[in-house]
Amino acid sequence: MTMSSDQNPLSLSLHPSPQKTIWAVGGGKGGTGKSFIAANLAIYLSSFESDVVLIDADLGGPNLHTFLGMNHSNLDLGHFFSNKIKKLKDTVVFTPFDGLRLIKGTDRTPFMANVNYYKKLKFIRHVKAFDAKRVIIDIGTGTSYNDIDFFILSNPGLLVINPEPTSIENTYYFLRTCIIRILKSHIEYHRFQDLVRRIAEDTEDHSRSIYGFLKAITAYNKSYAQILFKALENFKPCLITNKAKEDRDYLLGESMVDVIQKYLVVKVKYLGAVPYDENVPLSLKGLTPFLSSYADSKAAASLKDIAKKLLRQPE
Amino acid sequence: MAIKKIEEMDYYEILNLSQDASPQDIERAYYLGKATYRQGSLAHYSLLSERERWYILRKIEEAYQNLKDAEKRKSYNLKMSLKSSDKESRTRYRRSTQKLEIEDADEKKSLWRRIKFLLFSPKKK
Repeated sequence: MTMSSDQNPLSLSLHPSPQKTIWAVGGGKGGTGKSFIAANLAIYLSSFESDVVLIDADLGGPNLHTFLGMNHSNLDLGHFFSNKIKKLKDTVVFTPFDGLRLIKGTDRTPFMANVNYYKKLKFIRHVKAFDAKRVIIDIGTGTSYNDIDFFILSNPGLLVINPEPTSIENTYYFLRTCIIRILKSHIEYHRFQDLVRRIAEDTEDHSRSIYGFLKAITAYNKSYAQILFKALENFKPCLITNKAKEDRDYLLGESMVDVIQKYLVVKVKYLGAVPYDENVPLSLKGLTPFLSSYADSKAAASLKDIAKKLLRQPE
Repeated sequence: MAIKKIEEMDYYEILNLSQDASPQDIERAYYLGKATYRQGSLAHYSLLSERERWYILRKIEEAYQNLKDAEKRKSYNLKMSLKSSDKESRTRYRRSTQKLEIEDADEKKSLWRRIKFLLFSPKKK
């Protein structure tokens, strides 16, 4: 049994070479603008980088191509998951943007959201090996194992929230699920089997007590606790507020960072707020990508600012 | 990684500040804290009970009252450093005692014997 906490227990991590970044956009609640953020970050990056790949891993309801102003294509992720195409890179389609390629989600294969564990690992392996400097994955709504794992394994995961109670509630639920997943996977990997039962009892039924659980582990075995602390320390998601309207909406992200640090024992970095822009639905209706059509808007400036902050992120 | 409960946090941790924070930083952190944990704020929605919210607000107020006043802050910092140095010195004492008893005692004794022998033993003529 190894006692090192550097290895990721999920057998494959999405942490590639330092020159390559893989960002996953998620957050639990539907309609917050995850696909909008993912698509426009990718469009902006492709304006100065030549190898950006956008992957629509919203397996239950993909529509990233629409944000890029594209229609259906013959190739999509369904071909890879159903083994009709062996390599993920062969499902790539070109987009109207020079440096940007897309792996489209599938809307033709039913029940795609339920891909099994081995297919998920295969997908992660292929994403990691992908010949692209920037990979952005748009993950689905909800807290399925697939969504959570894509989010945890990216560097970093981007949480997109709206200044609405339902979005906040789902974000905290999503984060708690991520924390439990991280703790559980490390416990299983390091074979602290005697603790598995305890973590299930302590954190799933009373999900507010992550602090209490970690304290209990510290009392029980300090070296186990160190491994779990380190695992949580390595989980560094970022937060983006989308559709901000009032002054308090711009403060919300900073406030949530404080709440998360104090009560969920995880450090989150706040990247900024994207103001609400009524032209977003208009650009969607016209199948014209927002960043191209409204490049001088405040929302576009915020998106560019967020991308720059992400590129400055330490590994 | 130090995972602390709110009750265990010092004033700087409560306001999420470093110890060299400027008065402006303290002021800003205080107002952010108040806005974060006020009743009806979205930031704590679904996560904190009313009691937890009330408690953190009280701690924020207490931290601000002690850090905004230069004199109070100075004496708090002094108290903090004394506390940590006291803890450190106690730890060192305990460690050195253990070490002396377990590992070094015989060796030191024999070293002293050797020194004594070198210095005071009668020289052979």
